[in-house]
Amino acid sequence: MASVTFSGVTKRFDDVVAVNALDLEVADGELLVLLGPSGCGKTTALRMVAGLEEVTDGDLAIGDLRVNDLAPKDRDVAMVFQSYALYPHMTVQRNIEFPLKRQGVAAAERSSRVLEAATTLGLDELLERKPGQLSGGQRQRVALARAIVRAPRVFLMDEPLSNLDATLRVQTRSDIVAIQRRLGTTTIYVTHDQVEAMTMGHRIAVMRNGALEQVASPTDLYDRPATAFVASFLGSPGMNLLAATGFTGHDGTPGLRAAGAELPWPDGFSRQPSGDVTLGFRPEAASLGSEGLDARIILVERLGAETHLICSLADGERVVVRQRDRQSSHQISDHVRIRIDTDQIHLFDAESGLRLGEGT
Amino acid sequence: MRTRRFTALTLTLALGGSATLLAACSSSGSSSSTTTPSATATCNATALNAATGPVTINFWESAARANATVLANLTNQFNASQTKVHVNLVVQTSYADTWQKVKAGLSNGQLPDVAQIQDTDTQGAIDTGAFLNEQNCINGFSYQTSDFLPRALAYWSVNHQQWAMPFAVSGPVLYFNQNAFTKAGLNPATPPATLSQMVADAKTLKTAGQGGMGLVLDPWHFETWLATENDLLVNHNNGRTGRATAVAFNTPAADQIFSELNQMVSAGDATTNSAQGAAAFDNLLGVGSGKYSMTIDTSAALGTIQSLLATGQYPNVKLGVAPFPTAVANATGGVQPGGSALWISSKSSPAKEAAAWEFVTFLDNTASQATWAAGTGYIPLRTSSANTPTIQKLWATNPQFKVAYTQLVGGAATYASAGAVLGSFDDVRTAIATAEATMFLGKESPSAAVTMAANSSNALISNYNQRIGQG
Amino acid sequence: MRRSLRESSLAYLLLLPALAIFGVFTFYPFLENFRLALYENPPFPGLPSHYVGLSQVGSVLGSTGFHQSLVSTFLFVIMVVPCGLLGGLALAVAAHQKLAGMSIYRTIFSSTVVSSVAVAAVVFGTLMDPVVGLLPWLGINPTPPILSNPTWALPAVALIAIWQFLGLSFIIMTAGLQSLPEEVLEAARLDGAGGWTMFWRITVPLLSPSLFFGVVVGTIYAFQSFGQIDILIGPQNAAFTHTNVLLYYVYNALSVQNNPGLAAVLSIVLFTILLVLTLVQFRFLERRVHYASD
Repeated sequence: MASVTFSGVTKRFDDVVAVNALDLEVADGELLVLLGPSGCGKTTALRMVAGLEEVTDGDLAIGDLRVNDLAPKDRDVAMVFQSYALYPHMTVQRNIEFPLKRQGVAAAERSSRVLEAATTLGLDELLERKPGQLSGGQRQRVALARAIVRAPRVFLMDEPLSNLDATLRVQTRSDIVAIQRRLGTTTIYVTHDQVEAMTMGHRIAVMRNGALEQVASPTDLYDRPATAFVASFLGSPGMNLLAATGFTGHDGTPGLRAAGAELPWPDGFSRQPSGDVTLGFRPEAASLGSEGLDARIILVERLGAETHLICSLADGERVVVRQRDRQSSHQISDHVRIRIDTDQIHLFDAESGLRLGEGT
Repeated sequence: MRTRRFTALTLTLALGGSATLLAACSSSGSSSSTTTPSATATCNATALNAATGPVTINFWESAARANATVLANLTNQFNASQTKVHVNLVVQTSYADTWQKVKAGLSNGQLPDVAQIQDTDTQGAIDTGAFLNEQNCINGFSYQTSDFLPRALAYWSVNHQQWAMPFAVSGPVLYFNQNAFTKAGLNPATPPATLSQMVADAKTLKTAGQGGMGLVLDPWHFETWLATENDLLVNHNNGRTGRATAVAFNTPAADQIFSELNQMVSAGDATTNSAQGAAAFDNLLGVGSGKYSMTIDTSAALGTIQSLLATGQYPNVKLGVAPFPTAVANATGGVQPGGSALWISSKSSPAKEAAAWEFVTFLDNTASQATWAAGTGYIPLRTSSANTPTIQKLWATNPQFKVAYTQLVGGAATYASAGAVLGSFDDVRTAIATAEATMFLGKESPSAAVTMAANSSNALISNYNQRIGQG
Repeated sequence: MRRSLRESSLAYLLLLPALAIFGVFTFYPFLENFRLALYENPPFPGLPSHYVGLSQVGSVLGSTGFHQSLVSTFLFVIMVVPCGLLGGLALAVAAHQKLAGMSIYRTIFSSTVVSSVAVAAVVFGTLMDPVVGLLPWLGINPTPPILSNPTWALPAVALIAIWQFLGLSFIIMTAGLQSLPEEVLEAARLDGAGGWTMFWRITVPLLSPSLFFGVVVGTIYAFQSFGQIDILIGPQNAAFTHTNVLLYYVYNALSVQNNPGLAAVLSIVLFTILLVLTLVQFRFLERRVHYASD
């Protein structure tokens, strides 16, 4: 087991910067999720840990060892690929056994370890099959078994669930978490799926355009997003973001003007008496009432347990309102007023997207 | 995967199919008409005289380059000399091409009236049934042949019938580098007269640091060695008194010839090369470059060699030409000829046959043979041609041209020195060459190689005879 | 019912042109071949053929010439296919490096595909010529010279066939290498495979579809080759009987010997060999082929 430390790690492909001065420490035994939209550099960051991509700049360490120039096989890391990358010409048994053979583990120990890993993942009946004879979920489990059989210092997982159907994905998700918690192996898990990120990670590192946006626990990330991007990327649907302007009223109290309505300046954010801000609130922080922002419903999504109302504000901006109410009576084209719970308002700098500082 | 499997199977079937298609293609016509040479064939002047206007005939010739020019001049001369016959000269450039086209003509009807066909196809030409037995013309025209060299006539005489008149005849002779002989302490005035002397001289030359023997893998030479000691190649008097059914050379005499050749090769005193393809003249080139000091080749190559040497490219070579070294001393046989004869189609009209005979006898008359021999290096086939000023002057200034003539008029005229007539002759030659090559590789002893050659040849001959319906 | 009858007759109507072409140019000659095999032909056209039944088949199959041809054919195939495939694989691996200018090498390596048999044969024939060639200059000069040497002529022409097959083999192998699943190779690198282990344990098995395809195509190519032999050896060469591969035997039987009966028997044999060989390849070899999982 070991920690993984990125110190100013940069990866350039010719002129394109894939990862830009990444500073990130994955603690020993932690499951850290690298989350972000495609092209954000999360997979590149993972592949640098594996040694499949060279580090252009900065230092990458596993434990206390700088691994920039270490060959993949010498890093003692195991990786699970999106395509599973099983050896199609080998049986399940020999697939799982392959890394042990390369390490020169004795035959007797090999077979007991293979059997243990296979049993853990429920593959003990399938050892003589070839990958071509397995279902997607079974292949995925073989890939996992091949990783855990090595007892490496670090697991690297590159969107391992994205080729599975929805039901299997939920099941395997919890399996992976259970195994990781039991083995306590440091794990870096790359995904673009925020549900996976929220449910699996000890911490989540959100990346965007090759840079780290925020790294925090799932709840912190949800409750206190450091940037407007994180706010909108997490949650389903994401946070509503409106352009707003701060002002100081006649009585000297600060206020906020958005979509033609005026709100008091929320507590907990440093004041921006003049200048533009981005006002954020989660769909569940909004409700329909007799006062608030003027809006018209343009779409009603009934999800069973809840209903999402997609509304268009006077200036054309869209907001989503989540209603716990199963039998919402609202219809498309209804004119409504949206009330925002001021305790649940987030403010971001309009230009940088950074969360406004705390304080008075 | 499906696609690949399908592709591979299709390819297999396609190949199998195309091979079978190849086989099926040529079947047409092979099982149709039957032709037997007309027993009552006539060939006389009446037919020609009865024709109204000039009779035009096609002549397929097999000569190339300079020789083709000489032949074209002779043909023009013939066309200009009279008005009854006009000859269209069709240049086929090689014996193989002419023969291949004759065979094609047997199924498509495109046959020449006269064709120049090489010696090894004599039995084949008779068996096609498409050629006239020229003995009919000799009789019909009361043609006199006494002036011809007897062995040249005998070469195309089967069952006492002169099937074709000889035209381009040569013989194998020994070419050697007189300078190399002198340097090795040998007397260039007494080149080897027998096979064993040749073997000994090759060793002397090689030991003295000169080039050895350039030995071309040509069974014609083996046949000629047999002929010099009056031994037959095939039974029934070399096929002259009945169809050859088996070889006659599986004898100690042949073992001895093989053994002496092998001795020379295994000692490193001789280097071999193929008689066919691009390397066919490596032995002659080797004499020119000084790599070899001796070689045996056709006398017909002399003109080319002399003109090459005249360019001064090979200052170290002083060419000598000697008669073919006989297999044994005091040989009782003679050197057999080689070359081609003029065959007349029996599918042509009587007028064309007679016209063809007129042309053949023109090419074989005293003046034409003298012109032909002087222009090409072939042997003048008539005594009278040899006595013309043209030839006498050539021989006086260039006696090397007389060597092949002298050896063809010398020796005994027997069935052995008349050479062999047999079907599949080319394949039999290949079988003999293969046996020689196998021996040179050290895989067979000389006598085992002779037996091997005999067995393969017998299989080829009997297969041919069976297919011709004479098996 | 009525409708399906109409549909199927339309289908047959549409298939008719293709069936007619196949019928005339493939099926008819194929069947005609079996009839031809029963006739013994004269050495020259225009003379009668004789019905001899199966006796010709027996005598051909029992003949020394056929046995030698069979041996030569299999030796030729055994020399050409593995050498051509491994050579192509080696070149493909070499050209798979991501280096500048590699496309020039790719072009050179694949160029033998478009070179003609005749040109290749003449160039190699010159290189092997005992007087002016490259081999004697290197001190390799057996007696009899290579191309009329019963021992060396077949390897010599096989060398030319190998050289010619290299281009196609290179293309097949390059295509195979380029479509290898990158992640499997990366997984193997992480699992500790490198160098030879990587090549023999991972790359070659992953390439097995290409290798299998190469074996099938190469085998057919090798059975099909005779241009080099016709140009460099020919039927009057001392090494002829040792280089007389089956298809050349068929060709000679037709073009030189005017023997469609013999050619028919030989081509049936050739067809049977190829059919059996291909079935064997699919039955036994394909089991060891691993097509990329979907």
